[in-house]
This record gives sequence, structure tokens and C-alpha cells, in this order.
Amino acid sequence: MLLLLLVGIGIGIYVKGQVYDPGLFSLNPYALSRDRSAEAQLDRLVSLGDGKSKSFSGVDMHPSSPSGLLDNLAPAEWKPLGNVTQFTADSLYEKIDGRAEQYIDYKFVRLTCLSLVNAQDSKQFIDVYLYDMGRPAQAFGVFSVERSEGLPSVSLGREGYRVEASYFFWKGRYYVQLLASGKGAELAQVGLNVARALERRLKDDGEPLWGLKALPEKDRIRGTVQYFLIDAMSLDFMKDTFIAQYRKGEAKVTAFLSKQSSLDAAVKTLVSYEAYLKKTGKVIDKRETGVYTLVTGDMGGTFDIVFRKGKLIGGVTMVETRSIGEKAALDLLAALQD
Amino acid sequence: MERREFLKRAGATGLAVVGAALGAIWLHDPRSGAEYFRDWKSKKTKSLKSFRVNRLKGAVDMAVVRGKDPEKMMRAGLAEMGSIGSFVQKGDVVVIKPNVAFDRPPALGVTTNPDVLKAIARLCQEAGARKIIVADNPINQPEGCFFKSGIQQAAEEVGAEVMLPKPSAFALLKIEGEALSIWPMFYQPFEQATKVIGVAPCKDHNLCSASMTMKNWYGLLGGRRNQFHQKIHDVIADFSHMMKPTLVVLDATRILMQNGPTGGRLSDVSETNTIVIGTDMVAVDTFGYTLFGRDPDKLDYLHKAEARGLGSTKWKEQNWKEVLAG
Repeated sequence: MLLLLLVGIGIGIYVKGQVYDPGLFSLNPYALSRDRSAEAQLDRLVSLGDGKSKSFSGVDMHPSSPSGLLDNLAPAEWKPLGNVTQFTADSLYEKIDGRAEQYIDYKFVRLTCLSLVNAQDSKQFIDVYLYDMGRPAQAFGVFSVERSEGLPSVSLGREGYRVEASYFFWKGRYYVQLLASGKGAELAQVGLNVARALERRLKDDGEPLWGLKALPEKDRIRGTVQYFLIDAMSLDFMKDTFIAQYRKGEAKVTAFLSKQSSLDAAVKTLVSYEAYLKKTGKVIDKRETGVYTLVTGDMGGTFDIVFRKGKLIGGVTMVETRSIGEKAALDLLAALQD
Repeated sequence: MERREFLKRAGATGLAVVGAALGAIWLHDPRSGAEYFRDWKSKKTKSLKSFRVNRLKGAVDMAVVRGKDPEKMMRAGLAEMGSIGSFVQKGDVVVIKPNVAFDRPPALGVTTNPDVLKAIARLCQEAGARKIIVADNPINQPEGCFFKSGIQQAAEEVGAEVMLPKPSAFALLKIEGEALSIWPMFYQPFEQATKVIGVAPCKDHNLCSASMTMKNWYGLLGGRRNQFHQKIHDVIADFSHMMKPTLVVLDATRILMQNGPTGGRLSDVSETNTIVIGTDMVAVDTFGYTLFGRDPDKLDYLHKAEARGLGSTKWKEQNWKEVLAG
């Protein structure tokens, strides 16, 4: 009898695993509701914030998230729309499927989300996304690769910018997105107030990132520094790399700087880069001094100039004029020597 | 023990052994465990019929409409294709499948423009549709997605029924594609459908470069659908095998040009004021990809689908029209 019971349980588990039915044992109050209008839907979503109901994705953290960072964040005349939800690397796809991989590549730890809605106008809402990226460099990394050039900067966290009424900033190990439902000065002000309130709650030891210190500021185009933990410039051997755009006269130059874990690793990385240059173009110059090694590659219309100095790999990529590229690479090298 | 008792017991034991052996032979299934459960699943699976309609010879297969008023654009485009009446007839139950994957406002270009959805629904009603169902299986909480994307309100305004993905609405679907064989799908809307129209936003995608009308069907899958990311181009190509819609509409009124599929910045959105209507998803998406300024030759899933005879990337060779509307 017991054996039969065990077999039955086994079959039950197997069948359950095969059929998508996340709500098999849960109660969906919306499904029971007769009124499914948008207004009723809004009421229900708001009621989720009262701690009586459960939302369907992520992990509900109401009445307060473990860290409490998103508690009581709603400004006057605004209220939470649903509960605080959290997602880890295993569940992040439930929130940002299709984009989760990028965050996971930066060693994402946890996403905490909260929606706020204007109590007077349900079409106005602000979604708060608080990404715990584990380390400041990783927080800066995702912040930087999602940012476009020329967006108005805002004094939020270590660095922030605004797009209409939405705000994006990083501070310490956190990357924050506050996504507003629309435009307008009033909504933008509410968003800024929420952003400032959250910013004050985020801890940051203030230690500068090595790449931001090392890349020279002269000629650097504002807001163009990016950090790649892996696969910088789509090269699988380029890890822990900062990239920035520089204005060199009329030309725009992309410079990069990567710190390797050891001298050996740096030598190997330069060998890999040289092999890549040979595979996709040709190496046209190689200089070795007692201090650095510099390799110039002709990629068929553009030039990559890469150097190694100690544990650092740096250079410029896809520069249209060789002389400009070599000068920019040597400028970068000189700045490091300084 | 007495001899008689011994013989009785030995006989009974022998009968039990023979009975068990005969029972085992009778129950024996030559299939392996994997084959057995595959067949068992197969018996439980549903299939999707084709929702295509017969087209007159020489009819326009694809209309590229430029303009700013989605309703005028839809009317003008469909007029070129022989009117909505050549696709939807009186009494039809039309399922409209928008992309409501994320809980984002419409201006961010992540979800289908509610005005485009309304325009299509109104035209179907004018053609005599008995019922219009708007259905999607969002990645985020469904109610939040339908509310914030404006799709819920748009559907209400035109009297369409919104069907949310309740667990009981899913069924195993026999897809028999190259990557997808049998998979849980949000099936309930299609049980009563006589026509199906896919309405997809045109947006950048971190994994497959662009999400358009073929990728839109991804939103019907249940289960842990993120596990397909490693072979996403094969899966998207399978959709043109799985779903034979009446029409597809590529909503490029605005395009999310980068940071897709989730977006979040208005600065990533380009107002392109274009709607593409067609019957061949591969052709529509091939054209759509050019709107990003990208080369369709490099978009794998288009060519995988074309290689399987599921559509054509050669949209210029098809009967297509470009239309200017209000």
C-alpha cells in the first residue's frame, strides 16, 4: 500500500512538473472578481499594497522589504501600487525576461521593485527598480552600458541622468531606475523627490572605481565611460575593462583600459589581442620598450592600437586615422605613467 | 507439514508466479520510459489550426503605411489589401494578440500601442466580428501589465474581452518545430477563435536583436520559457510553423531602438509613424528590421524560417504597397 502511495506521489510530482500551473494551489482574487474593468483592476492592484493579497510574480516582501529600502517611499498623495517584490538571479527573468542575462553577467544579486501611483490620477505612476549588483563596479557597469550619450546629468548618487520624468543613477552597490509613466515638470519633480529619498537610504563607502581614476579626463566626452566585467568590445578575452570616448581634434576615439589579475594574465591578454588583430586584420607595428609593449593593427580601414604596461592592457579601437590612434594610445599610456 | 498441505501451497505459489508472469507480459510495453511519457503527453496535446484565409490572386500581401493616426493608417493599409472584409467576416471570433509582456507605459515602445489595437478591433467589429478577444501571457504580473500598458483600457473602449492567463487556460500544444516539440501554451483564447491577428511592437531585443511579429507569439508560451534563450532563433522560427495567423500587424508607430526588450527610456524610442500589415510574418519582419537601420541578412531567425518554407525574406518580390495615411 505504502509503495503504491509512493508511486502515486512520484507520478503526481512528475505530472505537476510537466504542466504549467503556477496558481494550482493559490487563490487569484482577480479571477473571482466580476468587475474586470481597468478601474477595478487598479483598485485591486492598489489593494495588493495593503498586505492582504499576494501578487503573482517574484517574491512579495510586504509590508516591508528585508532591507526596508523601499518602505514608505510614496510621496504625499501617492500610494504603493501592489507590494514590494524581489527577484534573484534565478527569478530575474520573471521581471525582465530577455534582458536578465545582461544583469546576471554583471553578477547581479537582487532586484527590489515597487510601483507608486498618483492617488488622484491613476494614469500617473512611477516604477522603482533597485538593483543590488553586489559591488560598485558592477552597479556602474550596468548603469553605464544602458546609458546613451548626451542625456542630461542629475546630481543623484555617484552619477545620474534624467530622461523626461524618469531617473537613473548608481550609488555604492546599487543601480536605480525610476521609470515614470509620462512626461511633464510635475511628474519629473515627484520622480526626483522619490529618487532623492531613496538615494539617502543607499550606503556607499565612496571608494572611487580604479578605471574612473585611471582614464584621463582631458578630452574625455562626458557621460561616455562604460565598464565591462566581461567581453568588452565583444572580445571574450577582455575582462574588467573601462571604455571611454575621447575627442581628438575632429576625430572621436574610443579608448580602453583593462586591469588584469596578474602580470602573467596581462601578457596572455596581449597575446590574445595580437592574435585577434592577425585573424581579423594584420599587425603592422610592434614596439617593445622596457616599460611597455605597443602593437598596432590594421583592421582594413580602421586601426586598433593596444599596449601592455604592467598588469594594465590599454589602447584605442576602430580609429580611422593611424596617427591619431597612435597619439591617443600614447597619451593614455603617458597619463598612466604620470 | 503434511504432504497434501505442501502440494497445495506449492501449487498456489506456482499459480501466483505464473499469474504474475502472464500479467507482466500482458502489461509489458516495449517502449522506453521516455517514449512512454512522450506518447502519454502527445495524447494530451492540442493542436492549432491555421487561421489563414484564401487570398485572391494578385492581392496585396503587405502594406507599409506611413502616418500619424493609427486608425486612418490601419484603414488605408487594409484598403490596399482588399479591405478588412477579406480577412474578417460576420460572426467571426477574432483573437488579437498584442505584446503586453512588461508593465511599462505605452510611450516607452515596449508594448503594443493601445491606439493601434483599438484601430484593429474597431475594423474587425465593422466587418461583423461577433466577439473580439485580446489575449497575452505577460512576463510580469498580468493585471499590472494590461493596466500600465493601456491595453486593458483600450480593449474596454472598443468592447473587446481581455483574457488573462489563468492557470486553467493553458494546454500542452503540439508544435512539432525544430526547437519546440510539445510545450504548454496559453490555449484558451484559440479554442473559440476563427481568426487570429498578431499585433506586435517593433523593438530592440537583447538576445535576438529585434522583437517583431514572429517573436510576438513567444508571449503565448507558458512554463519556464527563459530556458529557450540559448536557441532563441530556432524557437522564433518555430513560431511561424506553430501559428498561421489571419494577419499580422507590425506596430512601428514608435520603435524601441536600444535597451530592449524592457526599455525604460524615452530617449531610446524613435517615433517612426509606420505600420506594416501583412500575411507573411517573415516578409513583414524582414522589412521591419530595416526600420532599425539593421541588415536583415544578419537576422538568423528570418533565414531559419525561410529555409523551412515558412515565409520569404524577399518582400520586395512580393505584392506590396506603400501607403501614406493621415
